[in-house]
Order: sequence, then structure tokens, then C-alpha cells
Amino acid sequence: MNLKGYIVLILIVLVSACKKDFLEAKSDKKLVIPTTLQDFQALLDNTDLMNTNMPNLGEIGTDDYYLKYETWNIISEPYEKNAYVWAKDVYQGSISFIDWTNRYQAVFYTNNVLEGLEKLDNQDDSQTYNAIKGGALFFRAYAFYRLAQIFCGPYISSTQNSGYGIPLRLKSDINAPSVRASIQETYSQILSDLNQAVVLLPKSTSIKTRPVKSTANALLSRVYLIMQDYHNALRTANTALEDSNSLMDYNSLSSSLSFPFQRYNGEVIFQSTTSYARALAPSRLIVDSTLYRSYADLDLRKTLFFTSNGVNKIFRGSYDGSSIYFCGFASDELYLNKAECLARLGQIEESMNVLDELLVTRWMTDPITKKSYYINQKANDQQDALNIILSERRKELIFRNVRWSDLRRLNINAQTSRSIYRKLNGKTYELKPNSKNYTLPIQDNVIQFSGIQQNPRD
Amino acid sequence: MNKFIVFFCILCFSTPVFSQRKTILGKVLSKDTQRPISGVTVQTLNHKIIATTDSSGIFGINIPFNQNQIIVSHIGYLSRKLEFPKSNDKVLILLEPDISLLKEVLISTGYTTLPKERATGSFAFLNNSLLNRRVGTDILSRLEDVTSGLLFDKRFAGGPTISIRGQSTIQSNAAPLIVVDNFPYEGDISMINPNDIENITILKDASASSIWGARAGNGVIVITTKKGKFDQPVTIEFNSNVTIGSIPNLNYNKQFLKSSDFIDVEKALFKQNYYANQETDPAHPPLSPVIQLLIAERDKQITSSQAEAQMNLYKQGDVRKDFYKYIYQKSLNQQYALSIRGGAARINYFLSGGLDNNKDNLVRNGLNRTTFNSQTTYFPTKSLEISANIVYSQNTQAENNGGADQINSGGGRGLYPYAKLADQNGNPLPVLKDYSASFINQSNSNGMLDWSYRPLQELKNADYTNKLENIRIHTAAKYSFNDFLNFETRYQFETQNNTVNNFQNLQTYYVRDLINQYTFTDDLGNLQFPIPKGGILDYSGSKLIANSVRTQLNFNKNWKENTVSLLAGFEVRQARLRGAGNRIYGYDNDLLTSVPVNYIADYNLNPTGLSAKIPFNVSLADQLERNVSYYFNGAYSYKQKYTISASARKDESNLFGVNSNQKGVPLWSAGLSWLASAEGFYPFSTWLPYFKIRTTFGYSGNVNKSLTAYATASYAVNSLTGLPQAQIETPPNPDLRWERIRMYNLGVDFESKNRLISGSIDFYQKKGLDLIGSSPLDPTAGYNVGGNTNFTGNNAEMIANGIDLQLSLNKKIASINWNAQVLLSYNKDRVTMFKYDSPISYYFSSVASPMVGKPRYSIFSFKDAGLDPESGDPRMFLKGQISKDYGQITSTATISDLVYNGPAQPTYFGSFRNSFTFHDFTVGFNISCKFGYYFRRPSINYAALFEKWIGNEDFADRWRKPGDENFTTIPSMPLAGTTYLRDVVYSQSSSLVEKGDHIRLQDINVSYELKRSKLTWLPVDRLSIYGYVNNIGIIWRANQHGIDPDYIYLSYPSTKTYAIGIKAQF
Repeated sequence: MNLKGYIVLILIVLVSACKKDFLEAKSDKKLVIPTTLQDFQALLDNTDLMNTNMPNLGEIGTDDYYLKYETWNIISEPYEKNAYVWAKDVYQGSISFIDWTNRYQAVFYTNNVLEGLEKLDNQDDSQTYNAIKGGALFFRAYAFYRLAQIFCGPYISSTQNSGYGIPLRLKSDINAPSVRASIQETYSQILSDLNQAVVLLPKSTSIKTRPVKSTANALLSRVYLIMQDYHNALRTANTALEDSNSLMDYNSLSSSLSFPFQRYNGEVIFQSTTSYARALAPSRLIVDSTLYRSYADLDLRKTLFFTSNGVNKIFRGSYDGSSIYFCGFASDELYLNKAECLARLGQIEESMNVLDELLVTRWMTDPITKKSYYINQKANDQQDALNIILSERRKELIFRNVRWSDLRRLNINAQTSRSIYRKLNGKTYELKPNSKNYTLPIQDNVIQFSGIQQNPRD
Repeated sequence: MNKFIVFFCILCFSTPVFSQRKTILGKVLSKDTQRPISGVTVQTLNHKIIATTDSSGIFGINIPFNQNQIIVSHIGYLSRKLEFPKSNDKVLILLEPDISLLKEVLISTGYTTLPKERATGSFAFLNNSLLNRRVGTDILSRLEDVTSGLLFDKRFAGGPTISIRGQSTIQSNAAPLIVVDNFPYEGDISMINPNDIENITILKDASASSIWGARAGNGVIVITTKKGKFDQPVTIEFNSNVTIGSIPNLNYNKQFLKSSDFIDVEKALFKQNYYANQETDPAHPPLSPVIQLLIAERDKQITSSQAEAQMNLYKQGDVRKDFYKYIYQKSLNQQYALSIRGGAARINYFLSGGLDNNKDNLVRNGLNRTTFNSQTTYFPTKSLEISANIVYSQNTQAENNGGADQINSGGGRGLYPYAKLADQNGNPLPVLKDYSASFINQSNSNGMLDWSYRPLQELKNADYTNKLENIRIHTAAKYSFNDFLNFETRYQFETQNNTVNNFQNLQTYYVRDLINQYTFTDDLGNLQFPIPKGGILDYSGSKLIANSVRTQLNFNKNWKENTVSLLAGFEVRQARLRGAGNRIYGYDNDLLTSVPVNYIADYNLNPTGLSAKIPFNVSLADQLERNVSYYFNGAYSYKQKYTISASARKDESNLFGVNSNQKGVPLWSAGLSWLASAEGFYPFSTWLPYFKIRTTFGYSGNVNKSLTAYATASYAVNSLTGLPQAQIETPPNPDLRWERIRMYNLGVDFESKNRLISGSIDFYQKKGLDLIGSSPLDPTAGYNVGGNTNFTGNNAEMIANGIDLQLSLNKKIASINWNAQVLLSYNKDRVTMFKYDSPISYYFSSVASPMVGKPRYSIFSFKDAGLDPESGDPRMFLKGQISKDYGQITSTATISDLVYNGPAQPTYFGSFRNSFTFHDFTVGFNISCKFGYYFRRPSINYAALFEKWIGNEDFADRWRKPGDENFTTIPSMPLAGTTYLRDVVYSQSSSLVEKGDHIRLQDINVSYELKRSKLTWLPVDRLSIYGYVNNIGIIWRANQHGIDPDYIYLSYPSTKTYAIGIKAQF
């Protein structure tokens, strides 16, 4: 073999020797296989998925607002028009619907994170590790909670709750079939994820799109309220309030701004917003006039929450500080949860005290004497206390995406149940208490692919 | 004194010769070019005395006095035996080029060249004159209609895509591999100067292409550039041409509603209170001029007659007139190319330069290209060959005009047809965009920047350039150990820089709009501008660097009746693409200053109230592709009659996440050919003297770079928090495999007596295995990227059968030479496996979901049941019943409700090319045809018309009154608030599916050639003048709507172009 032959041989040897490293190089620097804590945190920090675009199919059906016929008539998305009048068929074949898909996408992310965390060898940074694990559990519970309010029947504490819940996907395997759990299993899973998360989550964070202990407690309190478990709802509301009890004095806010509230304001515990719906756009909806009138003139919420477009009252009081609706957790809700639980548990005076603590910050103060015009609430009996609290709850948490859940749970008890109505072009639609139409159908393509049970409608 | 010495010397030394011999002096010229030929062998009959010509073709030979015959020979020329009179010792010898030798086609696979006669696979060879039949800036468009099996798909924007022998993948890369001078071309193919191309070989079947392994599944196009030749005098070639293209036909686009109809629709909707909500909408959407009139009339600001008069004026308007006048123009392409080539005994060279200057059909758009090419081959010793090739090209594209589609009213709206772009004096006029006129007026008076949009001012201010720079350096060394074994190594370095600059000054609408949206009033009541009042510059650059090394051992030996050629080698390639982009605010182009902005703060946007941060446009990219390949190729021929060939290759790459053991894919092929006409028993030798049968079988592959076996995520910066966020891009897929394509080919080549008719016919079957397809997943699984819940994996198979026929006819009728070429291709594919059924709506998209048993690209529809005679509503058959419950149809229809209309790509296509040569004058034309396919034509979409102002001419023929359903299939205009699903269902109706079949006269070319051999006064050796008319038009089409099926998704078909040029050779 001559010189050239040797060169060939050497080259072949060289290539085989360094081939492994050569072919192990990453093909795109931007792509990673998520394996580190940093990667998992980044997945949970995907706020487009985790914090925003929360389902509003329920909110579209609430009684806090109405649409004029000509406005409603030309809304192009069938599911918004149909959800507004609680129609039997909601989607009419439309599949451009994200309420279901986005929440399950979030579940997929959290499952990937939870499985990835299990595979980690070194869990040296245990504080970070716990925060991420707690975050993943919280976000999974948050997604399940959102879905449960729309796609499965109300939880009724006096029953077995064996009706169809939602599919509880607890593994990232995309080939695993979807099966609907029972309502009881659904809520148990939410509670179990949250109770784990409460232990793992940090006490505080400067980033309000990440959950902390009080976030998990606030959601627990909401969920227990939905489950009519008032002891636990009270306990968790109290725990949450230990960390997050600050209230804004509405007198310090300016009603001349187009959006008087700031994003991440002092009451916000956890940032989350709903998806855009044409039906709920400030340009279209008109605030229910009885509801608007129920705000006293000295109640600052009347001017801070609402403005006029020249013809009608429109809402501008989102805690997101924009035309997008805030639906996360804020301390004002905790006061309301606490007050309601106390009232339901018979501690009427305490409940009124808690309510006063909140409302005094919402009412006007005399600019000179610095004394509030607010007069402390008095309740004659338990039902009266409850009525006061529920009325204030509706006024405070307007367009916070809690009204639909509240309607569902209040309907269980005859004393708080009510029918709600829509009037369009001379036609009246009614949603009766405990109607099947309080549970929305699952979109057609999900039913086609998974074969899961569809929700019955009236 | 000197003369005397010289004379004495000659006398002394030549005396012995003088007595017995004589010196013949002569000059050898090529009969063809009249150029001297160097290195010509001149010898006596007994081969004892030999001389060669010098670079000016002159030789001197001493031959015995009694001889008067010499033999003159040179490679590439017919040898001549010459006899000359004794008295005349100076001779001029003309050598005629050896046609038969020139006809021997050497096809190139990119790894080696081989004579076509010995090939077993299916190759198409395109020589220089065929490539130069067309005139144009790019090389790929010249491949159209020159070989069978090659289809240009021009339906979608962004230039044609080429497919060889139909589709063999579901959704992976379907483009053929393009090889330029031995290596895959990584840059932009538009950078190649077509004047530098010598020939192109297209590798169609597995045997031809398998040497390219995993990238060969879609066929391979091997481009070979021009090179110098040894022992050639300096040849200079000059080519210049001008192409003028007509203004596009904007009236071709059916998606237009004339003003009077449009205004009638607006009036009807106004009556139905359609605009009530928009009037009070705090986002202030634009209300068209007619709606403003109607509001003013309603509010008694103007009288009805005033409104009517103004509206009648609008009815006369047609914005397309302004488009013709200000947006479009005649295109003008100029091309200049100059090359020099030559060679001595051991060195040759080729140098060329090219200039292209194109003015686009769109005003202020154009292209400038400069190319430079240098190629040298040198033999330092007899056994070592060294070559170097440097190519530089630069391409600057101005993209200042987005065309008529980019002039719109914002928010997905089209433009109202009575818009005016300029007044009588040509001054730009505002057109409604994004906001209402009253809102714009109010903002202007509030101290905001002027919020109006003037399309012509936009066009004037646009400053967008896209610059590409490509450098390719290719070096090769080949060492021959002996006459049958050699070793070669090649190295190629390629780099491409791309810079994009988009400078939008303060006068542009984009900048003014952005500044205004972020403007707010502070606590003191002053306007604050978080985005500085100045220009915005977006600039980005990317750099591609590709390195390839190849080492190869070649063995070629003939002994007795055996011919063996073997090659084996390996190749390492790396391509890295890095890029960065940035935006600066408050940019001053003269002072080069910019202003920092606050990217962190949230602002409430005007007028929507949405909260947003200032757009932070920084992009970074770093991609790396590495490949290691081993390959072998061998062929053995016996008696030049029987040839067997085999090829094998293994490819490995760093495809992200694929397990090391799965990275490699071994692929192979084998072939056989038999020259039947060389057999003694061949019975047809009188009329069919050449007849060859070949067959091949093998596997090639296809790469899908977007997939990985692991779950992957990509990072980005969160717009809400400013923190890094990750998005899951692919779910884990441990079973991921490379796509493979199995192909059989059976072909025959034939030639009749005197080459009157020659051609080939190939039958093939392609089977795609492990094809990667997307199947929609249960959305509950949670995998979702960009709203797409599809899971992509190896879940499909498909099969395609086809025939390629190529026939040539050469006939001389009187003094006219008629040359005709018939190309016919048949290709029909069908999906044989696809693991999932898709939702019904997926079968109506422009690229339908695959369906088992049907071609990959198919057209499906709902069976039309005619319009409702009562209301003019569209009706379809659902489960055999007539239905107009559109929600029901979209949500419950199943595959059994679909009508399969046929394939969406031609099943049969071909061309008929003719050229007639009379002396030095040639005229030719080309007719092409496509048959056996369908397309869905767009029609009126009322939801789009109402909401987005997008009309369609079909509106004029809509159902209006009972009885119309007998004449029309176009639905009536619905009331406002009718579900858009009515339009969706109508768009899926079988009444909108049309046959795509058509025949078109593609082009006409003429040329006239002047040669110095005939015209001695000519200052150059050859001069040809040529003309070329392209895209002439359709001769026949099956559809009745005047639609050109080649361009169904485009606003207008390619414009007719006229070219004229000269080519000279010195």
C-alpha cells in the first residue's frame, strides 16, 4: 500500500473514532429535551397555557349581563351564540374551540413535569424542586377545576356524586385512552393535588403568574365551597388570608383612567385571565341593569367597575388592568369565602365583621373627615346574612368567572336557587335551576376520537 | 551577418534530410468553428513520424520525399487521411467534429459519470441546448417540459415545487435533492447562473438515485457546471437578453365583487342593523364610506338625495384601475453573461461572469444578481489531477410592494372595491384601515400622529431589501495509481449570508399606528409616547456554512469482453445555520441613531384596551446538521450487452434525539440491463437497430428533520413575565423510523433506423414505507402545538404506479429539419395505510387528509342536492337525505357521506415540443397538457363578504327568486346572523369541484444562427439571435369558468413574457 492508501485508512479510522461525538451534536440549539429543573420551571412558566385563556363557556351563560338581539345575532361563532341561550346543540360542528383542548394541554405539560421530576437523580435543590412539583400539581388541579365547572354536573354533598366527571389524565402518554371519571373522583383528584401542592409550594414569590401556598389554599377554599364543605372552605380561606390579606383602598384609585385597576395589584395573589369571547367583549355586553343599580352611589365600585359607552353600562373593572377578564385569585374573594362559610356555620356576627372589613375599602371616604360613608352590615338571621353576603359576592366578583359555579351550587338549595332568562327578538329563554343545561356538552371531535360519554342536554 | 549564420546552420543540419525528405507546413482548423485546434496528431501512414499542432493550430512535419499522405487525428474529431500535390507544401486542414462521439452521453450521478449505454437505471439527460431553449433568470424553471415524470406544481404562492414521478411522502420534504457539482446544494438555488450550467441529469428510479441514499427518495437533480477542456484555444462566449412581461391580469381573480353589488350588500345589511354594534364598539372598527353615508343619512346629517348621489359615484369606482396604474407594471428582465474558456495540454480553465437586473411586475420590486465563476483543472503530473472551483454570487432583492392583497382595511378585511388610491393628480389618498374615519379624525385632533393609511405613500416609503451572498469553493484531487485504479478526494466549502433590512420610517402606517397604539395620557394630562417618534428598523442576518469532504476509490477496467466499474467511499458533511435578528426604535437612517424603549412595562393599547408590552423583536437561531455516509456502487458489463449494477449506502446523522442505533439507515439497489439488439438472433435490426431493456429494484430514503424520538421543547421569552418559557414541540416517539421508498422500474430504450424515431418507455412502481403522517389525536391527550393536535409518526404507507414515455422524431423534409419530442407521463398513487380517520373538515382543506385507497392529494366534496327552491339555501345529501341543517352536516357527516371526486394532481401529463430548422433558422413551440385531476374553485362566502369585505364574482349569479335553482348553484344572500356554517358547507359542495384538464401553448422560440464558416465577414465565430415567448396561454380547458388550473390558489397566472437576445462566440 502506498502513501495514498495509508491516508484513506487513517481517515477512516479517524472518522469512526470521533463519529459518536460528531453525531451526538444538537441539531437545533433552541430545542431541548426537558430534563432539568430549569426546563420544568420554563414549562410551567408558559403563561399562555397555564394562566391565560381560561374557559369562559360558563361565564357566557351567566346572568350578570345581556346582549341586544342585533349584537347577538351577528356573532360568528355558533358556540358563543348557543351558550348564551343555553341551546341544546352548542358547537354545531365548530371545532375551533379551545376551552377543552387548552386545559388538557396544560394537564399534559404538568404530567410531563411531574414524570420528569421523578426521573431526576439529584434533587439537591430541594426548595426549587418542591416549588416546581407543587406548581405542577397546582396547575393540574387548576385545569381540572376549570373543566369540572363546565363539563361535569354540579357536586352535591348529600349524594354519591357518581355522575360523569371529566377524564382525569394523570400520565403524559398520549396513547392512553380517555375515560370519564365520576364527579366524586374528579373532585377528590383536585383536592389531592392541591393538598400536596400546599405543602410543597413556597410562601411567597415576586412572580404572580406562579402559584404560592395561599394560591393553592385559595383554590381549595373555592373548591370546598363548590363542594359545600364549609368547614374546610373556611379553614383554607383562613390559611390563605394569613399570607395574603391586603386590601386596596378604592379611594386611592382614579376613575378617570380607562382601566382603573392595575395588573398585579395588591390584592392579586395569582394572575390568570379568561379567553376572549365575542359575546363577553366590552363592546358588546351590557351589564344587567338591576345588578348595576344594586351598587350604592357611594360604593366606589359603581364608578371604578363600570363606565358608559354613551348608551349602555360597560365593564372595565378587570384586575388585569385591561379589557381582558381577570379570573385568578385575589384576597377580596377570600374575605367573601370566609364570610359565607361563617354565616353558613351559624357565626353570623363574625361573618358580618369579615364582610365589613372588605366593604369599608370599597366605599367612599369623606375627603375632609377621612371617615368612610360605609355603614356596617347587620343581619337579622342566618338567611339574611347569607343573602347579604351572596349579594355582595356577586357585586365584588363580577366578571371574575365565578358566577357560573356560584349559580350551579346555589341552585342546589331551594332558598338560593333561581331561574335565569334571556330575551332576544321577542323570544324568552329560561335556564331553570339544576337544569341539565348547566353542564355543557363536550365538543364533537373529542367525542368522535375518544368515544367518551356526551353530556345530556334538555 | 545573422542571416548568414542561420542559413549556414540550416544548411548544415538539414542537408541529410534535404536530400530525402520534405517539410510540410500546415494549419488545422475545426470545420465547425473555424478555430485552430491545438494538439492535433499529424502522422505518416506507418505511424513512424509524428507531429502535433501548436496552440495556433500550426504544425510542421518532415516526411520522406516519396510520401504524399498523412493522417490527421484528434479526439473529438473525425480522422482524415490527406493527399496533397507535391508542389504545394502548405496545407489548410479542416477537421469535422465527430458527431457520434459528441452524441455519447455521459450521465452524472454526482459520484461518477457513466455512459448512458451502460446504465441500468432511469436517467434523464438534459444537454446544454435543451436547457437554453428557455430564457430566464433561474435554472430550475428550465426543467419544465423537457423530460417525462417531472411535474411542476404552481398552485401555491412561493414559486413552483417540483416532483419527480409523483408523490412518495405524506408530509415530509417532497422536493427532489439538488446536487451541484458533486455535492448537495445547501444555498438558495436562485443564486445559480443558468449560463454556467453545462448539463443536468435527473435520477428517477431507485438504482439511479440510491447512491444518494436517505435523501434520494424524491429523486435527484444533478447539475453540472461548465468546465474548460484540454487542448482548446481560448473561446469567449457572450450572451445577453431582455425579457418583457405583460401586466398581470387582475380581472382574472374571481374573488372580487364589483362596487354596485358591494354597495347593495352594504345597504341590505344596514337595514338589518348589522353595523349597530360596530358604531359603538370602543375598538372603533372601520365603517366603509358607504356605511358612513348611510349613518349620516339616518342621522339626518345629509339628505337622501345627497347620499344617493355620492353612492352612485362610488358605484362607478373600481379599485383595480388604480392597482393597474400604481401597483403593477410591465416586468423587464435583463441578463448579461460572459465566459472565457480554454486549455493547454495539462491545464484548462473556465471563467465567467453574469449580471441580471430584473424589474418585477410589482412596482418597486426587483432583483439584482451578480455571479462570478472560476474553474481550473491541472495535471501537475500525469497521474495527479487537481481542480479548483470558486463561485461567488450576490443577489439583492427589493421587496417594497406586497401587491394588491396587502392593500386592505386591516383585521383580516379585504378592501372595499370602490376605494381610491389617488386623486386626479396622482396624490395618495387615504383608505380605511383598522379604525373608523371618525376615530382617526378625533385622534388626530387629540395630538396623536396621523392615523390614516395611504397605500401609495406606503409604497413610496417602503424600504425592504433582502440580500443573499453565496460563496462556494470546491477542490478536488484525483490520483491515478494506474490506468484502472484511482483515488479521489473532494472538499467543498459553501457559505451563504442572508441579510434582511426593513426600514420603516415615521411616515409609514405601521410605525404611526404602533406609536399611536401605545400613546397614553399621563397624570398631568400630557400625551406620552412610549414608542419614540422615529423610524423602526428590523434587521436580521443569517449565515450558513456547509463543509463537505468525500473520499472515494474508483476502479474501472476493461479486459477482453468484460467491463467492471466499482467505486466506494465515504462522506462527511456538516451544515450550520446561525442567525440573529433585531429591531430598533426611534431609528434615524441619516444619523444612525436610535432610542431605547421600555420593554418591561405594560401599556393599555389604544383603542382596544388590551394590555401589551412594546414588541421586543429579537430572534436567534443556531442549527446544525451533520451527516456521515458510506457508499458503494458497482457495475459489470459483458460484451457491452449485459450489465448488472448494485449500489448500497448507509447514512447517519445527528437528527435530534433519534437513538444512535437508529440514526443510520442502510439502503440498497440492484439493476440489470440487456442490449437485445446486439444479439445475433435479434430479429428487428433492420428497422429497430437499437433496443435495450433495463430493470431495477431498490430502496431509497427520505429525511424528516422536524421529528425526534424524545419529547422536545423550545424556549422563548414570555411576553407577560419576561421569563424564559418552554413549549413542548414533539411528544416522545421511541418508534420513530426514517421513511423508505421501494421502487421497481422496467424500461426500454430504442432507436429506429437513421434515428428517425428514438425514445424510451419506463414502467415503475413506488411504494412508500414507514411514511410519516400526521394523525389527529384526541384533544384530551393534551398534545397541541399551535392549535394543532396532530401526532406525527410513521403511520402511513402508499403506493404509486406510473409510466414515463419519451419519443423523439428527427425528419428531414426537403431542406427543413423537423425535430419533435413527445413526453407523456402517467402517475397514480394511493394511500394504502393510514392509521387514523380524520375529522370530516380535514378532507376539505387545500391539502386533504390522507384517506386509504385514495391518492395522497385528493378532492372530496358533499354531494350537492341543489338549492332550496324556497330560500335558495344550499343543500347537501347527508346519509342519503337532503339536508340543510348545516350544524348537523358539519358535526355528524362521516366518510360515507363524502364524494371522492378524483385526484388533485394530474394523472396524465405531457408535452409536445417541436422545432423546425431551415438552414440556420430555427423555430419551435411547445404544447403541454395535464389530464385526470380536479380542483375546488372558490365561490361566494357570505360570512366573509359581510364581515371581511371579501367578495366573489359568483355573487352576480346567485339565487334570487324561486325558479332560479334551475339555473344556478350559487346560494342566495342570507340574512345577517345566518351561521357561517352555511358558507362552509357550500364551499364543500360537489358543485364547486371542477375538472382540471387543460392544454396550453406554453412557449414559442425562434433563433437565427450566423457562422463565420459561411459568412467570412462575420467578426465572431458564431452569432445567434433568438426570441422567446413564454406563458402564451391555454388552448383548451375543461372548466367553464375561465380558471387556469395551474394557478388556482393565486390571484393571477404567470404573465406572458417576450424575450429577445443575442449570443456570440469568439
